[in-house]
Parts: sequence; C-alpha cells; structure tokens
Amino acid sequence: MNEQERAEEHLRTIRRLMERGTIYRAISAPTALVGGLLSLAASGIWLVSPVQNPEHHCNFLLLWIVVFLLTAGTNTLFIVHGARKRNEPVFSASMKAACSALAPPFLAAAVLTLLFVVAASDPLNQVTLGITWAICYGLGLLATSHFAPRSLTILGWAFLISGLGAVAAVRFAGNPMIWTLIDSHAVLFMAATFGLFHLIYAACAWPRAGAAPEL
Amino acid sequence: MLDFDKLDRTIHEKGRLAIMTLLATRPSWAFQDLKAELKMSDGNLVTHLRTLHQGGYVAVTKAMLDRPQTSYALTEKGRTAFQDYLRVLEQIVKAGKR
Repeated sequence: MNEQERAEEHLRTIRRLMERGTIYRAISAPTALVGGLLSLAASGIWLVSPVQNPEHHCNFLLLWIVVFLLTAGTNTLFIVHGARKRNEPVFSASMKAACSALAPPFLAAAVLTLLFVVAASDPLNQVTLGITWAICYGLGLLATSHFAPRSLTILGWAFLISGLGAVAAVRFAGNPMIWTLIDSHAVLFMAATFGLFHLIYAACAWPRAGAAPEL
Repeated sequence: MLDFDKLDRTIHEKGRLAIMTLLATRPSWAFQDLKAELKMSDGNLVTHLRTLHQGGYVAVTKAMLDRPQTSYALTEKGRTAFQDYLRVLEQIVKAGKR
C-alpha cells in the first residue's frame, strides 16, 4: 500500500467514525417544551371554544396547522441561535441528514391530510387526522434514530405505538356512536400525544449543568 | 514532498486517531461511551487519553452526577492539531493523484 492509499484509508476510517459518533437532536428540549405547551393550549381552546364542530374539519386542521407552524418556527429560531452561538453553519451536514430522514414521513402526512380533508364526509376525519399525524411523526423521528439520542428514539416509538393503538381502538370500536364520540374528542388524543409526550421528552432531555472543563 | 513523516505523531496512531476523531464529533464524551464505541480495554484507552492530555489535545472533566463520571473533550489546540492532521492527509491524497 503506497502513501496515498494509506492516507485514503485513514480518511475513510475517520469518516466512518465521525458518522458513528455524531449525534443530532432533531427536536430540542426547548422546542419540545414549546410544542407541548402549544398543543395543550390548542386542545384546551378547542374543548371550550364554540368553533369546534364535528362537521367543520377545517377548523380542527387549521388549529393544528397553526400549532405546527409556531412550533416549527420556534425550532428554527433555536437552531439558528444555537449555530451562531457555536460559530457553526446553520445548515450543517447533520441537519441536512435529519431533514432528509424527516422529509418522506412528513410528506406522507401532508398528502394524507389533504386526501382526508377532501373526503370531508368521513365522520372519522378528526381522529383520522390526529392518528395519521402521530404515526407519520413517530416514523419521522425513528428515521433519525441512527444518529439521534435515545430519548428521541423513545419519543418516536411512543408516537408510533400510540397511533397504531388508536387505529386498533377505532377499528374495533364496533358501534358507530362510539366512532362519533371518539372523533369528537380527537383533540384529547392530540393533547396526550403532541402535548404530554413532548413535555415528558422535554423534561427528560433538558440539558443538565456540569462541572467546568479543566486543562 | 508530503509524506507520513509530516503527520503529528501524537495523533498518528490508530487508537489515538480514533479517539481524536470521536472527540471531534461531540462537545464531550464520557469515558464509558468512548470505551463502548472503540471497543478498547480500560488500560489501553486510559493510556491513549493520558498521552493526548499530556500533549494538550484533550481536556478532562470529572463530574458527580448520579455517579462519578469522567468526560473528555478536545481543547482548541487539539481541534487545530486534528484539523491540521486532516489537511496533511488530504494533501497526501491529492499529491498522489497528480
């Protein structure tokens, strides 16, 4: 092996180790706190507000689009602030990898949402939307698991299992009146998953202060 | 002419190169995480970390969380040395391709 080949081999080893070693948290603890609180607030508003109407699926959709946009905007601000503080590029290689992993499930969620809204005669639209978002979000988080911290992987599994469990519960409910009852309280599913799960994650993932490094 | 003699001898050892590479990926690494990732024995890892620390490339932090934990991080000198090491490697590769 000549020197060039040895150098290339060293660089390959370095690249492999760097890929294995890098951890990227697609959802930071502060973002999860904001998202969780917004979700609980939105759920509370929905439950007490006169705008809730099982036949006006658009109100439900619009409410959660607002929550999503506010949370995504907050996440963007945190990412930009963090990158500037560390004097690093905002669009790092890790961030690009996370976006690549999240894109397919999020696209699926967007397309399925559009299809369910178009079929507005389906009485299960609200709970169907909520379940779809939970499953797609869970799959998105799990798609980042090979470079994400364990807490984020657990959050992904929590969303996925909750969504699949809700599908099973709705499917085997049997009585159409129960379906209507479930659908009219889809917001409770949203509060439990997007609200509570995010708050628990934020509490577990919140950065802890350590001792100052010594030289 | 560039060759391997130009490379930093402190970093240019298989075990220490792997340690420096991992340390470059995160703000700090706990000893147990480094050991698990590199599959090194305690003694081997400690020896390499001591060499890097004596060279001023690695900082050691001892914290008491739920249990005593020792973490390692690259110093500015270590980060610069690692980047210089990568630069020399890349120049060797480029020189070989001419």
